[in-house]
Amino acid sequence: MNQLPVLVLVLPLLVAPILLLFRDNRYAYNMSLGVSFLNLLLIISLFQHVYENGNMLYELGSWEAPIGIRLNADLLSCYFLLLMNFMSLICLIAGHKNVKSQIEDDNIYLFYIAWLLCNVGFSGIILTNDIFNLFVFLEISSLASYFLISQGNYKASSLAAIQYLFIGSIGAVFILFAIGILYANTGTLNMSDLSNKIINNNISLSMSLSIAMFLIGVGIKTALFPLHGWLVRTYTYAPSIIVSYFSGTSTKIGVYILLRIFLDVFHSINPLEHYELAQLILFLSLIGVLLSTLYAVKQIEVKKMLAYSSVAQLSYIILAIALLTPEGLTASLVHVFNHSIIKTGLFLVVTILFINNKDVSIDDFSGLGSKYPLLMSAFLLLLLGLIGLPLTSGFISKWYLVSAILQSDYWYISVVVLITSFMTLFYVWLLIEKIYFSVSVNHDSSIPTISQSLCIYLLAAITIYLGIETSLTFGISDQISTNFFYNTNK
Amino acid sequence: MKHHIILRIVTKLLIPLILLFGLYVQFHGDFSAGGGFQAGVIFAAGFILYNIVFGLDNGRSILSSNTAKSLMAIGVILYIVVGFLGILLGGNFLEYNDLSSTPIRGQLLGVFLVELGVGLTVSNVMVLVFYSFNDISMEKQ
Repeated sequence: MNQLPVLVLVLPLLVAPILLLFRDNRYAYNMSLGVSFLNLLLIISLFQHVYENGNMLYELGSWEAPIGIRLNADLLSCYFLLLMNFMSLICLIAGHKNVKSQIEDDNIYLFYIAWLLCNVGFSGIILTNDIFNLFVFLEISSLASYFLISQGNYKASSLAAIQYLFIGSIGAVFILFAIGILYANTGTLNMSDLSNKIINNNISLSMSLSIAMFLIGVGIKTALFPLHGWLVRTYTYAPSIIVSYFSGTSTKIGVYILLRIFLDVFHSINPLEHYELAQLILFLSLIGVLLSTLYAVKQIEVKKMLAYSSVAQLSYIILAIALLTPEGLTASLVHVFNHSIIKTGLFLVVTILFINNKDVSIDDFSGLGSKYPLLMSAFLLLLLGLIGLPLTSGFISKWYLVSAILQSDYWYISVVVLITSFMTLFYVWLLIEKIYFSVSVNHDSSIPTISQSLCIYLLAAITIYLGIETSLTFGISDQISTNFFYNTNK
Repeated sequence: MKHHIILRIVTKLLIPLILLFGLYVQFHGDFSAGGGFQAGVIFAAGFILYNIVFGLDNGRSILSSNTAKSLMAIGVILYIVVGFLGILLGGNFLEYNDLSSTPIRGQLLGVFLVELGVGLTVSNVMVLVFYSFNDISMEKQ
């Protein structure tokens, strides 16, 4: 039982090089599916353990922290860990057909290896209690994702991967420098130790620099408003299955790092409040929400539309964090989970139905409502979730978001949230109109397999379930934010 | 490269020294500066020098890119398997104390094996990077 945190990390890390030895595409797929499934089970039992007994520390090689490297599984990490691995497993199952038809035959096993390594990187970022290890795992996941993105069948895919590489590396270098400054100032890399050693009254200029660098680095990773350009480009040119996978994981990792660094490591000086960064972030994410929703309305290409919608939803998440109230943090955590499920589901539908299309325009959806009634009703549910209609999980997150805003000092922001939610209705309606009220029927779409459709149904069902029963999302998020704001036993 | 007799002779003299130094850095890492990563790079540098001077065909007949890929994977597997041994022997991941009769010997053995894995992986990655740059320039011609 107490080996769980390390097993979650090491099992996929062991399987990845073994797959490289065999170089067999079928075997690679089956093994990565198997290990992802096993990992999900391990994570669920880890979650249960942490939920019942409080957070779980694991010392690598039994060297005690702060000298040794420690893994720390608390509720926040389990929450994100569960989300990441669930998304990975769903996308692996649903994307098999796409990978076979879109990726070159020689590269398929490498594709799955990179997928596993990417997932290891995400899990590592979430589990580690060592700030330098966070950087290392960030690089592991980034390097793997550069490869994954470059495998798209567009001419511009390699270019998009290179651009992402440059931007990602710039972000990573900022984070590395920030870590270096922290290390020079405190002499430790262990997060718990760091948060004890950073005390309110000795904030030097270099420490402020470190905070600023963290903010920029994390801002790039989360696609915070002015730094969001890479996201749309990447989402347009990457293989569509990778877009589905990343929409639920990659940017959410940025949110996790933001929370971990600013609310946990810098806990005692609370830089978001101390430097009035919160207002800056709030302002930027407001512009982000407005502009990207406007852009989303304007798009004809569905993947681009969903990508801009992702930027808008991420801005909601960041906005809620920047309120700096426990309610805001709860709302953002709830929205992280709900948005991942909804957006991955939407991207998966696009992925599954249009395997061979490079650009999927809104017109491609015409008449599909009568062609695939069940699949399209699941798609409709996910779209309604995106708007935030009652009985879907989107409503729950919007509800908590708006009520958190109303309880804070910035009550007038809620107007913007309501307006943008209404604007979401515009572009969602364009799709719905094509699907159900179009005379012509698009016959080019590919036929989904049973396992693919089941994945979509599952995600749609979860959207409904989380819209009614919120103990998983709201219950856990509430507990996490209570721990952060009122409790000091970390 | 047939005419560059000085280059060839000097390279032949240098390569054993470079490889020896690589091995020294690898196995002496626990007492002085060094370790698997540095050793891997030095070792690969020796092999890449051989490739540059005597041609890639000769180089690939010694170490094909498929073999290099497998060795790269084996290095990582070695690292993780040693880590798992710690768990199997009742400790934590990467705990070497129980690998041998005394904890100190266990630590020595554990570090030795893990660094061997690191060295193997790093040197083969270096060689593979070199090979793939060559492949790209070949494709362009």
